[in-house]
Amino acid sequence: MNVLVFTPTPTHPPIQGNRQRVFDMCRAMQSMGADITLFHYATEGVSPSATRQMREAWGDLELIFPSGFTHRRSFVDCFGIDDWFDDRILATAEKLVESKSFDVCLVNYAWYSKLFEVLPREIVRVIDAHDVFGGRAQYFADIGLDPEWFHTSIEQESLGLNRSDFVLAIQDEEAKILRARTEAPVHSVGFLDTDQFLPPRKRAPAERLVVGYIGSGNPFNVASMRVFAEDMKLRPELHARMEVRVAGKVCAAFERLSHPFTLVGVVDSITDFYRSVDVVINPMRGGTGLKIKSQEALSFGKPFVASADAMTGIHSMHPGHRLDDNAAILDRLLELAADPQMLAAESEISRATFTAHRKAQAQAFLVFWSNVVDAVNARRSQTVAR
Amino acid sequence: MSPNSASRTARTARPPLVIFSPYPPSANGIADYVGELMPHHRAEFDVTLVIADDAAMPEEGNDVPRILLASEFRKHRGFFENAPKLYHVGNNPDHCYMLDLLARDPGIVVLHDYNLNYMHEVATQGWKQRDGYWSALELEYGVLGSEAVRQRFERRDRGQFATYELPLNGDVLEAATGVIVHSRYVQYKVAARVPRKPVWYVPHHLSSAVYHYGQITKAEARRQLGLAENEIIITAPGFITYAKRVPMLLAALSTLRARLPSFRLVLAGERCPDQYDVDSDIANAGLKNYATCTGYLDEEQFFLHLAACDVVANLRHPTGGEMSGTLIRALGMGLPAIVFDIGPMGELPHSVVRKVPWDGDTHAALTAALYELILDKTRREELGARAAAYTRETHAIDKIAGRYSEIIRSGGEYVRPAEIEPVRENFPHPKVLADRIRNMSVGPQPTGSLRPDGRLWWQCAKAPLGQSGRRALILAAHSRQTAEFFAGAFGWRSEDITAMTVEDFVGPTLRNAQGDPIPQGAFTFALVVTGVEMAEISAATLLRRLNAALRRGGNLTFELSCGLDHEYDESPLADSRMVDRLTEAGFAEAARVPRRDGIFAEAVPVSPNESEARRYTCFTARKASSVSYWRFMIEFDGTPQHFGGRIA
Repeated sequence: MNVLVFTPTPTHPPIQGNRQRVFDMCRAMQSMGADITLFHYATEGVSPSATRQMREAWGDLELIFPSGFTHRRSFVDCFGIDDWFDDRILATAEKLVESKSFDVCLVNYAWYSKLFEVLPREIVRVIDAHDVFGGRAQYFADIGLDPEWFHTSIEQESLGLNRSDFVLAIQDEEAKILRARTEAPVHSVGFLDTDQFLPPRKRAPAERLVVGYIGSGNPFNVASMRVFAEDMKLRPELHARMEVRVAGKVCAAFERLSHPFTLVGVVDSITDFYRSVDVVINPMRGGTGLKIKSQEALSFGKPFVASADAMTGIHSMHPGHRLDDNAAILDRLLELAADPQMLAAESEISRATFTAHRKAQAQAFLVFWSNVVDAVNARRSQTVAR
Repeated sequence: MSPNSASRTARTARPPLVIFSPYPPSANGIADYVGELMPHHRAEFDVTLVIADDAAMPEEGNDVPRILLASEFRKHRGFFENAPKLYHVGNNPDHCYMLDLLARDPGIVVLHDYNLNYMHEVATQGWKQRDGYWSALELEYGVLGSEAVRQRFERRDRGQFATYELPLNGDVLEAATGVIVHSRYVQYKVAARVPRKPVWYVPHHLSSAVYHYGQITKAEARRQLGLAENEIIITAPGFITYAKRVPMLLAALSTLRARLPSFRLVLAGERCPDQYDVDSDIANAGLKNYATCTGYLDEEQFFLHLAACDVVANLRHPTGGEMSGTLIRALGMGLPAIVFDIGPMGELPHSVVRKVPWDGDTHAALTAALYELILDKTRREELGARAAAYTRETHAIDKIAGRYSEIIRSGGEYVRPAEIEPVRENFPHPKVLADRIRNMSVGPQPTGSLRPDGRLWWQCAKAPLGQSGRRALILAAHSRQTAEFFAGAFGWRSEDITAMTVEDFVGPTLRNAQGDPIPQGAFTFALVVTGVEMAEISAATLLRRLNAALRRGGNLTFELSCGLDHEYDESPLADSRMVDRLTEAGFAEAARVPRRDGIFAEAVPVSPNESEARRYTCFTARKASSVSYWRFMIEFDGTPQHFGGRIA
């Protein structure tokens, strides 16, 4: 089966959540027997080594650059669904479908769905939504932030989604929202990352609890960490009991954070960072999309303390994974600092949560893929009948 | 040159011969060497000369053979499949293009320099491929090479880097079907490096130009060069480098200055200011008014300087194993020469050159030799006459060309033993592997177990596909099931696989399932799947025996797992130190396998033997060296202390 995958983000190196997502979906389809042709519209630029790696991974790579293209703005409040679509994509897609017979075309992000216009009808069309972009401006405004990146209206998003035969959502909550916006079947498939469980950190008997947080510089992470630090200040009894190591690009937003915080910055090895902490936190408030950092912490099997918002898209019954506010998170950390024996049990819970989540996502992908294969077979038989 | 015209020429009676070499007008001594031999080769063979794509194109003429650029040769290599090939390899950038070609189209190598370190450096570092240079040294010398190159990069001081101790010629010698050298010194070294391979000694030929320039009188040459008629001239030909021991020559002449008649030292070659500051040494020796540096000389100017001089000083230490073509020319011109009594130059008869021993008293011996030859005209003339007679007889070009013909005609019969062939494996793409595993389970005759030990080695496709002449060693707790899965998924014949548990492999006696001893270097691939919880002596034995079991260049995939109850960072095989462990055990290119490279595991119906509640890490490496080293780790007062020793 030949699959054309359009992506505006490269799959290599997989240093961001959206790149990992595209990589995982391509690799999963490839493992199921699909031949991938990756059509990359290099909005972020692409290095020669990344190009070589993508060619090695996918075999066929078509690369174009957005030379001279500027985004249009069809509406006052938001972008139209095709405002970010460069017509050079159409020309290249046309050439590709002329040179090779595709069965499936997967487009990453609904605002590139105009690409479907040049495809023969027998090709099954899939949109990987990545997130909800319709009404996003209002969502940001509700929490006092300006919308970043692409955002559109619900109607415009529906227009894009309805061009497809299948829509992929990244988590159940978003799948519910998208189902209300499109007639196409919506499948929820999260990240397909595998476990990389770590044993607990070796610690001296009277040592302080080492708490870790790693996050990108997105506004939700920055705002959440700022509030968490303020709330921590109000709890001086915790300061002697723990150290909070903050890593990743989120550090750039802070000139300094007072004791017990340590700003680590961008780390060379994520594994080493997780290895160096006893417990990981994600005190996120709000935010859209899947909370990739929560899933990552669980994939390392570390004890995890998080807000309910931070666990959106990841099923867990554990109370420590769904805390209401920072006060509850700090109380939980104090409990762990007072009784380190609990850390082993917390690790086990994190591992079990991740394993169940991974199994559910893998199963969801298999169901999605079998539906796509059925659709391809149905199209083929229709073509033969004609 | 089109292949069609090549085809027409090849139909002539002369057998084909492909020569890879720089060629005039390239400013390269080996180019001149090959240019001089070419008429003789062409009289015997239908010669095709392959030059680098960026080389200066030889001018058309009677002595120029058919020329192909390297890229043209690659395109039409099938046409030359059965033609004998002759590679002239020297330690400079003009030969880099041959590395790939030699690996693909082996032939006889004429090794002009034993040391090829600089050529590799240029071929990799010169293109900003620092890792390539690192990897070449590591592959050749194991941990020693990687340590040396690490220090080199850290210190950024090329002079301190021991390139003479690391000649980096293994890939060239191993790819060669036979080797031609210009000295016994290099012949013995090459024979030791690649035993069972023919190594022919062919003396460096004497250039025919000697007979022409030999007619020019000393007075005429000095007149043309503007040199004084009545001075004694001592000439040191070639690049002005420290290894030519110019400081020693300056010191000797400085010592003698007051006792000598009027003299002049001519350094007849190009300065190498990045390596050696000759002007400052001349000034320090007080010889500013006695020394001349000529700069680059073309052939005519070079011979004029030889014709004009009284004594030639051809000193080299350390030696890269090269025979000096300029020395042979000087001797052919009938010049008395002083050389060190080491390396290729030390092989010349005492009656032909004035030899100075290289020992603690070299300065005094060199001073005495210079004094003797400068003051004694008769002795100079006698030594020069013997040198001319010897070289015109022993190094005569028609004799040397005849020797080449014999070797080329016989060289094709050499068959490379399988065990010293470079190991080139094909690792499957994850997609191909997933398809193969699915076929194992649904085919008409299921090919066996789908319950291997370990996860990452197969999910990330870190085992090569089976092919003829390859043998695999599988070490795993469920060795039979793992080997069956390996055979089916990676296309190996079961008779090419030896499977056993790690415990059996590190046991007191090592035998295969049939009770036969396992020979050294028998395997091209080894897979180990084991837990990190292993006694230190067992871990040391495991790595040493893996090294011994694999052929040089053979691949190793090593998957480790550990429980999640506590950190295993002090285990002998802790994943944090595995790269160092493998490197010290004689493996190169040791690297952790990124788990993201793996297939979507649910796409295939495999049920691994281990439970999921473990941590898995996987490493790959290639055997680079038979030197296997292990740092024993002993705890003193709870603090790990490391000290090492080579295991016998």
